[in-house]
Amino acid sequence: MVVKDVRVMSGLALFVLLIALLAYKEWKLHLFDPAFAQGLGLSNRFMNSVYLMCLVLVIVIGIQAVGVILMAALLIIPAVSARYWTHSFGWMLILSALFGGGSGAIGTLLSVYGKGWPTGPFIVISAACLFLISLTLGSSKGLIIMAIQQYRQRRLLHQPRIREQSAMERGRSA
Amino acid sequence: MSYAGWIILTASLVGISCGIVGSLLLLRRMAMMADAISHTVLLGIVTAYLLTRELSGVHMLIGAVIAGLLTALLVQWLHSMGVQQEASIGVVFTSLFAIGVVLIATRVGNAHLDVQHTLMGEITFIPWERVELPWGADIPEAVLMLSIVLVVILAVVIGLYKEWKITAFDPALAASLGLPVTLLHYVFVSMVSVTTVASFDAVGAILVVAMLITPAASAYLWTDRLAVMMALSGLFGILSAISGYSIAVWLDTSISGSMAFATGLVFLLSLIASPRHGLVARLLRPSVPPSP
Repeated sequence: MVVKDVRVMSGLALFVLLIALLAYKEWKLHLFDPAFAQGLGLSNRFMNSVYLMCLVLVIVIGIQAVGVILMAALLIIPAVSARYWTHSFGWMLILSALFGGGSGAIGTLLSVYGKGWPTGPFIVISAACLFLISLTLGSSKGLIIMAIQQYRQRRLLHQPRIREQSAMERGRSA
Repeated sequence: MSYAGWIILTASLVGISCGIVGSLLLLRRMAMMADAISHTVLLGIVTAYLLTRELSGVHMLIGAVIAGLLTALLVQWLHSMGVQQEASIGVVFTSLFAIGVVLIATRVGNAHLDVQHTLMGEITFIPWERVELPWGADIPEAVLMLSIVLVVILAVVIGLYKEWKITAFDPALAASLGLPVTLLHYVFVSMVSVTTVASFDAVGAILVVAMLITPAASAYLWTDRLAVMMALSGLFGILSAISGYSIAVWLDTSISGSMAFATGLVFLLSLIASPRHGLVARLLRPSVPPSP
């Protein structure tokens, strides 16, 4: 990979980023309620083709970095991980980008330490580790949070409610 | 038998076993799962090699079956956590595949095992890796392994034919009739793993997907009966093996690549000319809706 490749990749990445930012609310509408978007006069077919174009551009960039097969990992894993931290679309975009960039940096760093260690697989493994962390610790859908909530709800359910106690019992406990 | 004969026989065996398993795969809507398993099998093979230091058939088969089952279990587990099915397949198989590649690059080193070989396969060398049979015959190792796998698959599919049929078309009914649907699912996943790893040497992990899905998809255009579909799918597998080999000889190019290309050609022909769901047939009788 030479300077020219890096320039082309940065240019394409900026272009994709620009499209995502400029049409942010259109994307949101198109994703969450396509019928409503069509009712407002937004062409679904046009949005789909723009989306596919962006996808192809991103894949073309990524193939140089991690290869054909592991490209799928970088497309899916950061987004799924981000889903465990937030319910907001905007935050999900930002977090997913952070996770993707972070795992790229960590994986590249790791692969530098060994002789002949491949970069792409290490990037994917660090993304997978980030996913496991998100799965357990995630603040909105993570396993621990869900377990705590379930425990609380169960305790609430099993506590006898005051209304259902008889007057005699209430007098005794007071 | 001649050199070309062994290659065509190997590829035909791959075609038949992949065709039979592939029809069930398609009807159970698990085509993506085949893609996933064909990649994670790499991790199973590498782990088996690290544990036993042997690259023989049996160890590879066991490792591959464990890897396939692990993939299916992990995908199921993530799906039950609320991740979408496709997303969980994507997460699981890419991670396991990456671990396999890292293990190859760091531990296995110079062993007779590399990513290129496992992904693309090398059918050209198969006729030379011979094995002696008890009664004195002398056949390539891959042919022996593929024949055993084919016999096992045929036994499982024919023995449990009506169970496969009912779980493929109506899993809810199968469960309510008391069939062990989950067990059958995992048996099926092991079958896919065994087929994949047996076909490894012949066509490679990526082209196994072509052999699994494309002939079955072509056969589905010709018929609506499961047994006929399996037979046709195996037949298309053999057809693409033979025509793929002739294309490879004619153009002097990669054998496995031209076989996958031949499966694509067969699918294209079926799409155009099949009497039931083909484009021409549909054009000729536009008023009749396609039968369900």
